[in-house]
Amino acid sequence: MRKVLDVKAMSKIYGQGCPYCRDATGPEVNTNICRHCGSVVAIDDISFTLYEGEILGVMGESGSGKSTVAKCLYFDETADGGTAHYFDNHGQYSLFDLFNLNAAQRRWLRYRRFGMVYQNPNLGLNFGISSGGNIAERLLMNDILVYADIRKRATELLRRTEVPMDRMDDLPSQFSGGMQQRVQISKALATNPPLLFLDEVTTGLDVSVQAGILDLIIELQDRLKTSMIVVTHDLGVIRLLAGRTLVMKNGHIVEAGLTDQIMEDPQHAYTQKLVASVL
Amino acid sequence: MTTAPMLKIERLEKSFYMHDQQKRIPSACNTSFHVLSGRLTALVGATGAGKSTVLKAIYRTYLPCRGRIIFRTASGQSVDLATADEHTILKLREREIGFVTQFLFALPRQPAIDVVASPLYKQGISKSEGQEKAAAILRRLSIPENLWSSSPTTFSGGERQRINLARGVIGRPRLLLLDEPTASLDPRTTNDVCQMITDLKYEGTGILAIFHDPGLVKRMADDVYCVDGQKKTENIS
Repeated sequence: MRKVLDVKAMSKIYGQGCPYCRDATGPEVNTNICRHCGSVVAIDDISFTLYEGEILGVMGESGSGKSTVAKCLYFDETADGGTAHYFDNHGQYSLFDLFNLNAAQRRWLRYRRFGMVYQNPNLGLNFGISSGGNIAERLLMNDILVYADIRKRATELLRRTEVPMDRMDDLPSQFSGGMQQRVQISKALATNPPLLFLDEVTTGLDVSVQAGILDLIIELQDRLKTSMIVVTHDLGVIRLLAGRTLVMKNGHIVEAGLTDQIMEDPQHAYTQKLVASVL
Repeated sequence: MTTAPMLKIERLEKSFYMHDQQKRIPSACNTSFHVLSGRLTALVGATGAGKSTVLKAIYRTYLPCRGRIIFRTASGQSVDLATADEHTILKLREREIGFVTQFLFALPRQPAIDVVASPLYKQGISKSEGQEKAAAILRRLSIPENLWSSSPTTFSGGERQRINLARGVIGRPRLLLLDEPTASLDPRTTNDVCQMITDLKYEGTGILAIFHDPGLVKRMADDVYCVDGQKKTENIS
């Protein structure tokens, strides 16, 4: 069982920050906003590990900081504190160490080792080019330069995600929400990334579409053994996908454990409330 | 067959603290017993005494409050399931410890044959081989072939229970935890299930089971342990 990600004390603050921010925010005081300086402590003291082939759920309500965790690791945002190490066959990378990992290297990791699927397809897709083109773009960035190979790979991915082949040259704006998500997933998977981030990928979709996408994610994980971090507020999705789960509130992890244990024997008051609230 | 226990429960205690009511609800208390490979231990006790709690604590769905749960792994190591790290537990669940709960939890839209075969898929076994093995068990448990491609969410209680059981045993776990495996079954299928459990026992599986029917306990159990839970709830103010 190999470790893929080791995160320690990760934090992100929007605003100037002050010495009182840490104590003035968090789940005990029910707020992310420091009353002394007005900064927003999006996440603080986030520590966890992710092993190869596992799916880690990050669960919490709006404002918990769960998306920020994914964004900092994927370099959409810059973490302010803590360390994160990514491990694979080629070595070990200290993700937040700006002295040892320059922008080009971060970009390399982002395109060659990581994948991200956003809740909003606008963030993950280029709406100016066709869906096939979106996948091609990612393959090109990975030095797959032969047109025939690109076309073949794009076709295969869209087939796996059940996007009709004859729509490959259509623009994403011509697709339904569910199909846009499938194209996003195809794009993220184009390079078989060892680490995949899924940020609220089925929120807002019809239940049947959601079921199809979840089936797909599970099948892909079974086949490719991709390590995943699934960010969601939906307990059903967490239960289906994640073996282990982190529960977040006001920027902190309040509970972490096996998913079935968190659901059936929640220890923290907030987790108990959350689990009891599900319809 | 070795005589060292496959599973040793030592003074297991489990209670639940409800934050909103500031109340602690006790369940299993001072529970100690063994499970040996090739033998079936039955857990008996009044409803609410904590029998399912003991099974769930072993599987780590519940976090034990006190006590030890020593499991002897295939490689001969001793692991305390109560305190082992999550990755160890997940690995053991994949290969060595099976739990057939009272209620079937399955992915929506997944055909019954794939639900049953899914533990094998997770081990990397091919779809065709997995389905072949699943078909053998489904046939044995008298699930009609025309249902195999339907989702078990559409099945009757008894059919769901058998799907659950099939899924739980297909991976041949060394330790099998069974929670009321025959509760919704008619006498004939109860007999088929009992036969299957007995065969697993003879293959060396260590089995810990809850049967609602005292007759079944008599028929199936090599050892019997009585769970005595407390009835009072405590208010912590």
